[in-house]
Amino acid sequence: MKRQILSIGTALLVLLLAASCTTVPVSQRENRVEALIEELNTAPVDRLMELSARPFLLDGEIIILETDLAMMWTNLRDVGFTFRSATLEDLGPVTPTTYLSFADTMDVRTWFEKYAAEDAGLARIATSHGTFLIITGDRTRRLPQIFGFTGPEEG
Amino acid sequence: MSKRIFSNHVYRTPSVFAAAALLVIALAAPALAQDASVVYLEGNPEHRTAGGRTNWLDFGTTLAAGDSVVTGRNDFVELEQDAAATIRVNPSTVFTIREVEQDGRRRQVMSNSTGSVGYRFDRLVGRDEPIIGTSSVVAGVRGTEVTVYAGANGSSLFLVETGLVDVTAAGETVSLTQNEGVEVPAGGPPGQKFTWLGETIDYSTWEADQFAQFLTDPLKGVAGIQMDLYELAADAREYYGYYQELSAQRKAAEAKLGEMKDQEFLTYRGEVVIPLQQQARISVLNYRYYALSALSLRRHVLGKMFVEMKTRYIMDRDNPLYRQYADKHAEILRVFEDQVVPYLVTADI
Repeated sequence: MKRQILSIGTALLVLLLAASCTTVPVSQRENRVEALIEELNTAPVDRLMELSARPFLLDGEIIILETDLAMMWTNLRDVGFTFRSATLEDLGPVTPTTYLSFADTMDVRTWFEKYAAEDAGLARIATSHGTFLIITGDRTRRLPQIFGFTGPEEG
Repeated sequence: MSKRIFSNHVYRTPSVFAAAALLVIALAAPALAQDASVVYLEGNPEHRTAGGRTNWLDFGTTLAAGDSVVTGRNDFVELEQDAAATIRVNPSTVFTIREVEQDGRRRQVMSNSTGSVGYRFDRLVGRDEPIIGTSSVVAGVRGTEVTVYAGANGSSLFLVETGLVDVTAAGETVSLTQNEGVEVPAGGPPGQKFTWLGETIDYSTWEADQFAQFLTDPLKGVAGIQMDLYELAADAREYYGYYQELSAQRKAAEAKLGEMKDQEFLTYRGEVVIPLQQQARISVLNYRYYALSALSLRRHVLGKMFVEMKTRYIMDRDNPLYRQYADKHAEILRVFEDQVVPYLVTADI
């Protein structure tokens, strides 16, 4: 009887763990988002393009063209910008009011409604260049994609 | 309001349309009131529909009014409209087909808000002239072969291979013939025309030059876009007023019709009510055209400028030049939100 209860308990625990793995999407898992940030800090522009979704959101601007997105990453690399010394302060799903942190415009509100992934996550990271919000979603192999970012926060 | 969009080739009076240019080419030409079909493509170009969906473009895909083609760095698309026109959409380009009302009829406007597009129009007598351009430059084309470049700083370049072209912007006109070209800066009149020997001008080189000019004086560059965008917003508002006026007339006429009978009813309906209904319906095209042109300018020119500045100054945000630029950008966006967004729908985004 005791052994039976133990077996059932173990089975339930396994099921619970499996369920938790399937319910938290890659885009909202701390270790995966941290791995994404590490990749964003070190990978060449071609790899950054693979990790970036389009249309991409930078602050209040929607980037549609591949060439414009490549220009964005190239410029950031050229000036030496990275999400250096990043600390993940918060990570959770995108909410209906997340757009206000990017821009209170029809453009950005619509972008979140139409283009953010269904499993979109919002990561708040503190870096040596300030605090940024990064939108994650979907996945390319084991990493989530970056759909946009804003920051550093002023003040 | 008596003004009609593109009527009698008076696209806008110089005071109203100071920032824009227009081309009128004095040859017979085909109508482009048809859909365009993909006959050739390279890479993975995208098809953005008027309804706001994005699909991969494929051979045989048909583009209707409101649709766009978005090409990546290695993409190329060739479209045909019956046998009347061939349209070549080059890499890193956003090409859009829209409609406007002219003298109570629908006309197609084909434009690229960024990148470059080549057009070849075959002569077909008795058909409407096609209209081409960029976000802020409109061109009437008749029986010609022309390439239109839209620069990241809002400037436009027209290169004519065959045909005759009159380019007017900010009240000034430059006439072009075969192998001539002209550049139109954002917010200004056409520059000096130049001889173009028929060799392809590399878009990426031209684009790089335009952007280098922008970076030498970003505040001046954004001021030109501001002028163009505000003009487009003013035109959207003006044509919306015209639409409202027509709608009010239509409602009044419909009410009056309700009090009529027999022959009087039939006559009034045929001569007054139905034409007003048609005019009101079609006048929507014009304010939408200007609002969508403003959106293209904001997205592909102003937006790109912002991305360029933001990423260049992300580690030097207190730089006075960047602060001034960011303030100006925010000011333009506020105007866009107040004066253009009311005429847009979410499918446009």
